[in-house]
Amino acid sequence: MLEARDIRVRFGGVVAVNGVSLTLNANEVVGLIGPNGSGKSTFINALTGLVGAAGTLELDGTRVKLGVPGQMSRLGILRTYQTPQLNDDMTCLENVLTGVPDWRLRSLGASWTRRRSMLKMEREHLERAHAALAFARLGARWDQLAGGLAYGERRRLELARTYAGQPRGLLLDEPAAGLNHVETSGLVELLAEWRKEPSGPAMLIVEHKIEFLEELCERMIVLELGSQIAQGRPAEVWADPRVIDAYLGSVTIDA
Amino acid sequence: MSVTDLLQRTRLRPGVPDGVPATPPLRGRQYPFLGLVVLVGLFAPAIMGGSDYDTGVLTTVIIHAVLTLGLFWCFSLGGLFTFATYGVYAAGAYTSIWAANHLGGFWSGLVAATLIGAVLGALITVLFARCSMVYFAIATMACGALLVILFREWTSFTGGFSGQADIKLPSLFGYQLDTYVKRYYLMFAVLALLLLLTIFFLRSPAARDLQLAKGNGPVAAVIGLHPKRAQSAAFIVGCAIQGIAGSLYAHNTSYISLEAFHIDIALLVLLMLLLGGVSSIYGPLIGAALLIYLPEYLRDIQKYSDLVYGVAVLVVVVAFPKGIAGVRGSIQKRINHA
Repeated sequence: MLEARDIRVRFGGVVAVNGVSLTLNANEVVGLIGPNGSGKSTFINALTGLVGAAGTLELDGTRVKLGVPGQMSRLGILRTYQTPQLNDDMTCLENVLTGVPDWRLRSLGASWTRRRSMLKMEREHLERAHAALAFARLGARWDQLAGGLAYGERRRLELARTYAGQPRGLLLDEPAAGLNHVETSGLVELLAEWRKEPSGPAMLIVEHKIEFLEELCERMIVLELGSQIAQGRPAEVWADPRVIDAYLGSVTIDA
Repeated sequence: MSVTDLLQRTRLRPGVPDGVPATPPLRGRQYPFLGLVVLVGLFAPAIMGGSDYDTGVLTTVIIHAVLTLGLFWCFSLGGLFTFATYGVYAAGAYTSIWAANHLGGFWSGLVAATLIGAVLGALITVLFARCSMVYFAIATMACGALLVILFREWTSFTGGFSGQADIKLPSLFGYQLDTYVKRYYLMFAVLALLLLLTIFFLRSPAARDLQLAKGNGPVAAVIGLHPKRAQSAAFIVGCAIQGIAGSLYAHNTSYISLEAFHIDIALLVLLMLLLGGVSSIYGPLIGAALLIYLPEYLRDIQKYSDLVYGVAVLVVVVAFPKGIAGVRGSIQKRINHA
């Protein structure tokens, strides 16, 4: 479904992502790991247009322009962020509503000239948003301000916003960062549940928590210093000496 | 549990979930507020006194409320600050006078002023699209100054500092609005219409998208919204409204000169928005009424008026950061914290 080839990102003289390729098939869950600074987040930022990048990106064979935000959303690929990116002054429901990928009648002009159809559409979106909040176990908190939520709830609210978008693909940037053990397993449960739905999305998960990945991923890709150093099934990857080196460092013992 | 399961379980009627109040953009009591404003506005000339002077003060309130509503659109909604207020206001005024004389009366003047405001707003957003907050504000200030210089030199159009006296009175269906009170009602109707349009916008998904665009631009862009476009649109509407204020001002007097368009207006309008409440549609009206009437009432203690004025501004800014419109919320917050 999603095919990224030879993605490169440079920040001045630093090569943050150096020719990383990725194939994400429908309904597949792929883990993306690597030590801090290995370019995982930058890779996702490159795919979603937040940073300029070179390389090719295709979705079902159609080329997607790199460096232009919003392209992926319009083609059904959504993302979350390392720290939840919500508008704290809006309610949970409003935050989720912004993620409904139906932009008809959401303009200034429509608010003046096409009120009736606009309100009708708004009610349809409202159903989707409430369903998404219920999915994220936030159904009862719909009218609370996002700014007042606990950290774990903010994570789930961000997930609800993508759920309302009914994506084909989902890019998750450290979804379990800052969550405790119980919250993490709750999140795993949520993602597993979503995957089992008929329209469940393919997922690319950047994560450090090993148990998180092992429960969800079929395949993993390991980055170090912007380049891919290993890929395969989780068990294979963890046994790979280069991966062990990258994570734990290597010691050469002079006899 | 799938979406359809959930929908069935919660038994949604088409559109309206059971036990869930109206949709988010439909919250608030803006329509009752508008009703109250209209009621007060209708009787204001009778309450505030019937002399030309009293009515003049009232119309000044209306004009400043319109100007501040323009800033509300630019800044509170669009997140783009403007100091070009006085230039756009002047452009609206002179364009309106010219169009009224050459194209057919006050109404074509009003339309022309709206358009020139919108065009200027569009130009500013296009030219300074890449400037960040503070630099954008300074750029708009420069635009205001440039416009005023242009009008000073272009004397065939504006009369410069010696002024312009060839101004058509507004008329409605051939009926000349030849007194200050009649013109007050015209201006008030325009203000009420602008408030209604603003409420329409606030009660729409577009306002919500704009809020995300303003506060979390890159996120909004990734979601698939067009943050810059939405912000520019609000800015353009704001400038158009300030153009309208210029037209209203021009046709209420028989003579205008450039002295009326000083940078002080941009500051005054900013103060009105801050005092009235940046984040509330009630703000512009409250701020304008307060800052026009306060000096009137302080005239008896003229010696201390600046002091009282300064202290009042400080108290509001420090104690009620959301302005007068947000006093209730601010007090509630303190009580909840205590």
